[in-house]
Amino acid sequence: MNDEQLLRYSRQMMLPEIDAEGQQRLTDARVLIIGLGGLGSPSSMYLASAGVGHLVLVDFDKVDLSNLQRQIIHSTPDIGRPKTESARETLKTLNPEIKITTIDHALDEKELLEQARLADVIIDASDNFRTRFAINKASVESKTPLVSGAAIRFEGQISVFDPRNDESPCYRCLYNDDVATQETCTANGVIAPLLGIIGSIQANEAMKLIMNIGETLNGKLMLLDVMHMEWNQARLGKDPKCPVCNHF
Amino acid sequence: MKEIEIIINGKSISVTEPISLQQLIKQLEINKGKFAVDINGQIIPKSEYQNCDIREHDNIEIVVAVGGG
Repeated sequence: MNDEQLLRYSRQMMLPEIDAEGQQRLTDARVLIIGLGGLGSPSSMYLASAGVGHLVLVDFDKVDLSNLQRQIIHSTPDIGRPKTESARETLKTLNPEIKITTIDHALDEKELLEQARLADVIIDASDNFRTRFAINKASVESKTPLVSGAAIRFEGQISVFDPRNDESPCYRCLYNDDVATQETCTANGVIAPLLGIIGSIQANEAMKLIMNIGETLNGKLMLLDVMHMEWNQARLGKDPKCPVCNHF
Repeated sequence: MKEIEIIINGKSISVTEPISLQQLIKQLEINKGKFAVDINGQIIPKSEYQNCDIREHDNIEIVVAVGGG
């Protein structure tokens, strides 16, 4: 690590829990971020600025004026550009040291599994349940830890599913995939800073997983209600009859 | 048969014992799409709804899935 890098990361490297070893782990890590909207914006920005060596950004969408209230990685001149391109530019300005790979189409099952296998951590920053269940399956099958975050209106939910641990629940242990639900920010609305809070926690959990420090939200579901500013936590175990994580 | 008090999403209601979580969900017509059930701070696995008996003073939260991002 050169002097400039030491200076860039000095305020986190001075933490004994991180130090040079933790920083090296971040440098060597590859994180798959699915969705560059309200959650993917803050989480990818923090992971880039903290020096995670390789970020793989996936989004098929283009920047729209109605995104800018909350998707802070994109700016007004980016309207009409692919989100991956706009995001890459912001992240490269933040930290030119890191490698960024962009994928500007929706991944099919095979591609998703391949990307999951290559990643050290997956960040689910998507905006629909179909994608969430597909990401979960790829996480379970590749045994790659998944940091799941979601937000709508004034409510957020976060958890970590870590299939490296046999006792870990998966996203399918928590929610059923057989009922159709449309709960997107586009359809229901969302307050912007809530996404900043949830996305930042996702980045924080991903960094801890990479550095193998502290305790994560694995086995816990964290619920946030920003209207009443209340945090709640529930313990979440594996469903012994889960159709997804009992197959692998 | 005995009336018991339970709390659901912060509101106190009474139900007739014995009652399983599965029966309670049906009785309350909880039909909110994807949801999880937290009883006294523990999410109950879906495969155990049938065998999960509701007890007096149980604090139950119906956690509705959030998918936005």
